[in-house]
Amino acid sequence: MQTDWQGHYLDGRSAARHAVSIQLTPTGLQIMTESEERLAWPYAEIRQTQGFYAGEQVRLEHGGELPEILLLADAAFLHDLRRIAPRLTRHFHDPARRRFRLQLTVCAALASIGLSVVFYIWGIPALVSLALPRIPVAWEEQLGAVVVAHLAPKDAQCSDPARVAALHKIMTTLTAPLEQSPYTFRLIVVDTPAVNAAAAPGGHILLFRGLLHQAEDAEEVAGVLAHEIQHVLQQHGTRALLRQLSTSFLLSLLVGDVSGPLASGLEGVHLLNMMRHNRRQEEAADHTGMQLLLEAGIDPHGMIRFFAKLQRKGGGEPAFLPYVSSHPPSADRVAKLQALIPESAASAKKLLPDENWAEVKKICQSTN
Amino acid sequence: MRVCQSCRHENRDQARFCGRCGGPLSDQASPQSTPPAVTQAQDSQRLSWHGSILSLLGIFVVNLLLTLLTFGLYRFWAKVRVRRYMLSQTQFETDRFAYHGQGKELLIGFLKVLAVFGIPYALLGLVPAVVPHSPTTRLIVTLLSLALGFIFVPLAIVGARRYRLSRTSWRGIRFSFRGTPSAFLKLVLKGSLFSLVTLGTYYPWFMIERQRFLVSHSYCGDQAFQFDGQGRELWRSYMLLFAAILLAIPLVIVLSRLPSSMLAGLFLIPVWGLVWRDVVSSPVPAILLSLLSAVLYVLLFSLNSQLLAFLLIVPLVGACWLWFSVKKQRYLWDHTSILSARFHSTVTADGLLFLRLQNMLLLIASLGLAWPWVSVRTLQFVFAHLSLDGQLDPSRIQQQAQSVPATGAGFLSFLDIDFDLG
Repeated sequence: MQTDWQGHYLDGRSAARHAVSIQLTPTGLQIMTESEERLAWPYAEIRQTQGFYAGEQVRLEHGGELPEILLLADAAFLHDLRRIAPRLTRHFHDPARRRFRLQLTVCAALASIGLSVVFYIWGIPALVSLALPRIPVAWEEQLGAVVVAHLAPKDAQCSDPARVAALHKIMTTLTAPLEQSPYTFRLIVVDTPAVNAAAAPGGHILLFRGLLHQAEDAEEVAGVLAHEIQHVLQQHGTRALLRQLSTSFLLSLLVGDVSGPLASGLEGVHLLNMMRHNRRQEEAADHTGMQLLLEAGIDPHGMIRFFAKLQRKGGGEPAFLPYVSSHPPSADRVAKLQALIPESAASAKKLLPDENWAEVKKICQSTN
Repeated sequence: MRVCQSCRHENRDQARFCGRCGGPLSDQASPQSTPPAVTQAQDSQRLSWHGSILSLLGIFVVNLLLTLLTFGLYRFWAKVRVRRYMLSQTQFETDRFAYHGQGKELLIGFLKVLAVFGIPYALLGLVPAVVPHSPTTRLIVTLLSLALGFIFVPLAIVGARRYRLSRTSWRGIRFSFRGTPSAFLKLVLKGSLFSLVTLGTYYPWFMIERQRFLVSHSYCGDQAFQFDGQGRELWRSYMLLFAAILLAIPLVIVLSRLPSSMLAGLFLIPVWGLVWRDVVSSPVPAILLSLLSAVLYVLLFSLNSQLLAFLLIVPLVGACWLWFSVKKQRYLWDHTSILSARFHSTVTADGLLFLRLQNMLLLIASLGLAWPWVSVRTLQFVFAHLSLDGQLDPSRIQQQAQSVPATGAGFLSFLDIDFDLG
């Protein structure tokens, strides 16, 4: 064991460095400068700030804000230091533990990957489900207002009063069983050719002109509206937004300082997962939407007819709007809906018995 | 080449003092008979970086885990760990630098920035959603956001510089930055306005004044760094860049008349030049680059001439810009000094271009995981091309502790905050 070492001393006042000899004692370091000046540093007062990695000099500091500094080139010094005063020098780095540190690092890498996966698959959905019932309706309505302003600005809304009133009658019949619901449902017809409908968080239902033109009677439209109303009730739009926000947050934790290709790769995985998730939400909205139709006493065959029609059209355009629900219904979805209709449902009363549907459909023409 | 009489270190011809031992160089012809020993040639750099990619990767991994576990709060401490490692591995002469920053300080700085800039900016963004749409409100909001950003950037530069320098030391001597944010803001406002009025011709002077402010208010202990650059010396190069950009327009028109096969071939000339230049020293990126060039040719061949001509001009203008920025970088370093020692940069445009291209490819090929490798390569490049020539007497550098500036004198001193976002 070596007790005498050579090093360099910096006094914290000037940048000049002084060669010193250092002696290890059981209580502290004895430092002797070239000018025969002696310094005693008790181990408890010394901080080690460098020398944690291979090839790095050992740097010891003594004193407050602008300390005196001792520099040693050889990391073996730390080894001997620990042998001379094992109890007093626990706060110094132990080069023997570098191997262990490497193992810990490998574990940390695995743990990071595992943790992100667990958080993504279970953590985020659980957190979102926990938060959703606690979100005030007013917040959702504000969020919905932003969506409406984006998808259906004022000058794109069809507002012919008589025809709007007719469509509102469908909404009134449809939402009659939902008196307990905290949401106020409003229907907006948008002058866009897309065969689509959308549910904004908070209760706005957007019906695009293209979809209205495809419908042959009020019952068919009612089927779509029931589906969209269920999206609002089950907070699907809000849920998607919360999930998107928390996933972006997780992503920024993961690749915050790295950027670029890794982030886009992970985002791709997320997109695929969200598409799978959307399909489940669609099925849920179909199922509960059909139940709503039955409760409201509306003929459920309109919904079946219309979804089957959309399916035959082969999907039309791949409608990919934010918060928008209707992906083209598959044969499977139509079959599942069919199975929900009870035998005794034939006695439904006709919607809008006094209106000419072909006239109502012209809602957007009269405004232009 | 001037060889030092005392240590045999080879210095550049203009040097007056030896780059390694600091001894004066005489005009006497260098002795040809005694070539410098190999060991001496290897450590002839005064500035060097000694870190390892594996250690950095290890720090990165542990940081990642702790950041995840703390929902991002650890990010500030993570930054400190990386910086501490980076500076501890940076050596000037015989000693490493040290970083004294703390995660807590970075967190507080971040919160300050959030309060002073982040919240007002977010509120401005909300205005269009609350107030009904009108062109005037939109204009006012846009102008206010721009003004906020315009004030923010110079203040952030000064704040970050002040924080980082005050937390960095060499041989126990702290660095410091003593410029005030208000003075810098004035300089930037004046420079931007003049550049705008003179259609950009004032820009070189603005840039030099900006650099002079940043350098001459930086201190190591009680010794200030000096900057003696002149705007007019960079003006010519800047005007050449200007002219090159203007010439690009007629060039596009001429080139678009050539067949696309020929234009596609023109693309490959600089790529292959780069490949051959470094094929021996770093074969893997060179091979990747040549593979990429083959794919590039096939892709380009199918495009029409007009588009190709335009695409050809982009790298040409880019090359001019790179040439200017390297020229500028070298000029700035070569006019920076402390005591009687002067920095000297040997960065070349093609070297920098090759480094950037390689780094980009590495990041793309590894999905970003090569990040530690890329930052190490960049650092090594910087230090390989930077030296400090001349005598630097360490005993003349005395510690001079900087107190925290007093607050409470006007709006700008309220913004007089140490923060660091980088």
